[in-house]
Amino acid sequence: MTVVRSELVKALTVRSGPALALVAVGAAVVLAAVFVASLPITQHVSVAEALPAEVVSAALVGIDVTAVVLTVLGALVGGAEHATGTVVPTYLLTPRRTRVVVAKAVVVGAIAVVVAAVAAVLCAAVGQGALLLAGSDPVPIDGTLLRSLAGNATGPVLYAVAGLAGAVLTRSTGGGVAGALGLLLVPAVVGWFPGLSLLAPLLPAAAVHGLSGVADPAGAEYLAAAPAALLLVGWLTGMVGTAAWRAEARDA
Amino acid sequence: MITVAGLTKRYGDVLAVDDLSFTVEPGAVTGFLGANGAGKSTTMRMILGLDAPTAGTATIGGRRYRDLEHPVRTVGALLDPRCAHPGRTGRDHLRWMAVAAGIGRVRVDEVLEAVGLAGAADRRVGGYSLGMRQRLGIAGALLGDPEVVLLDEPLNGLDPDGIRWVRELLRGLAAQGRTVFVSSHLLNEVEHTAERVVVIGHGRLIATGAIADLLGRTAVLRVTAADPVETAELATALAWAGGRVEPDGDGLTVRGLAAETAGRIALDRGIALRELATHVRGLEETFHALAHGGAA
Repeated sequence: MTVVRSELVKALTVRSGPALALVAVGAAVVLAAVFVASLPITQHVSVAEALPAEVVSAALVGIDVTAVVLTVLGALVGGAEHATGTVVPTYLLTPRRTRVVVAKAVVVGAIAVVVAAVAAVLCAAVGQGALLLAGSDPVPIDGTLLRSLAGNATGPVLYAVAGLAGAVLTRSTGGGVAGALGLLLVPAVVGWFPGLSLLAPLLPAAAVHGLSGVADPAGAEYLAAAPAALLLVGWLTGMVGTAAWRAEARDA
Repeated sequence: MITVAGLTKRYGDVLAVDDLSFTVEPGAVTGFLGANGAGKSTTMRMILGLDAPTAGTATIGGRRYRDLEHPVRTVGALLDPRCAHPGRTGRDHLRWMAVAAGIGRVRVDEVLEAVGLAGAADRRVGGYSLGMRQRLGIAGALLGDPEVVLLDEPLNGLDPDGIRWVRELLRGLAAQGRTVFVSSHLLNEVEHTAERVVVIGHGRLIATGAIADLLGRTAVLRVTAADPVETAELATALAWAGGRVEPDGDGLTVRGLAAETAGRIALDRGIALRELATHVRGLEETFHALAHGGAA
């Protein structure tokens, strides 16, 4: 537990950590507003004409930018250790490096959960506000909406941890960002090759979409909530485990 | 006590540390000497478990670093003063370290005061001079009040007052019975600070022991026979006893023999001496003599 607290102190005592968290929320809100405002262009319907659920869904796309910013934050938590040499005192204080990597993942994950949850709520609020301004009824706050918010918020958490794991593996912030963004792009690549569609339900995006309830039951990547949650845990464990294994195996 | 046994580190074709064995005893400052690239930092990193040895072991109190129950309370180390995030304040740098080690905030203030950084503790490390970073690194090493202190080039970037402060600090730690192992390229400074040294070159052990003994080993004798006619006979006898003898004006320069031995040889031969003097080199000369095979 001391290692987790120590990693939290580290994350909060450099400007980039809190600044990126604020940017992740602010940019999501701005993007949500942009997506809602551009419905007449993208969906060819005004807010007043669109189904309320579609308006809120459009607003929730704003969380994608949260995922990108939190990926950078996660990668910075891992990469800056090597760039600044802080990894040396870190490993001297905690020679069992797996504990360090797991503690970093817990801290990045916790920060990402809070930031993504706030971003998801604010994005939904943008959608609801737009509906009210257009004179439409807002989407009722029920289980479906809450599941959508929670599911959408898992994406940024997943990619933030992926950024961290990539940075620990490559010992660079850039490597972490590139690795996580690569993971983000895998579903698109899989979609280009029909034979690879079998892999779709194994990808992290399937877990996020399954949890948020937006996956098409007839689609290749469809997963129910429980398998989606298991898949998410599997990806998180696999990424953090691989990073920890490499950290233990290599010279500091 | 630090025990290094058969320690070897190979990077591809490069043998950075080659079958190195030595011990560092408590209660004394032990200097770790070697030219740049001799393998000092690599050795220290292996002692601290940061790099894995290709062969051999390094233990502290009989245990590998990673097996220590409370590493920071057992060993305090400074390897590189740049190992701190420039965007974090000095106080916050020590704070995360203290939290990781389960040490209270009061100790952070204590070590900041001890190293003379209390006034700059809330400035970002990026604005520190190299000397201030050294002090911050030393503060980190002292955070756990450790039994073993291991510092790599702690004098770099320090002004004369800072060097004097480190010297007194190291002596004080050794006087308290702690094990103090410190590398430095400032040989004269080591001579003033350390009682023992470990000298390495190209990753191999060259010499280890008390500085006084090492200086004695590389001492040069000046021997002059009272009767110049007997100089040749004296030279032959001293060489026969293992000395490396060179003519030097009207006398001889002898390496590799103690003055007592040389005097006894002259006495046995019935050669009266006009001069028998020992010239003890400084640590710098001794280091170069050892490093280039000039030792006895």
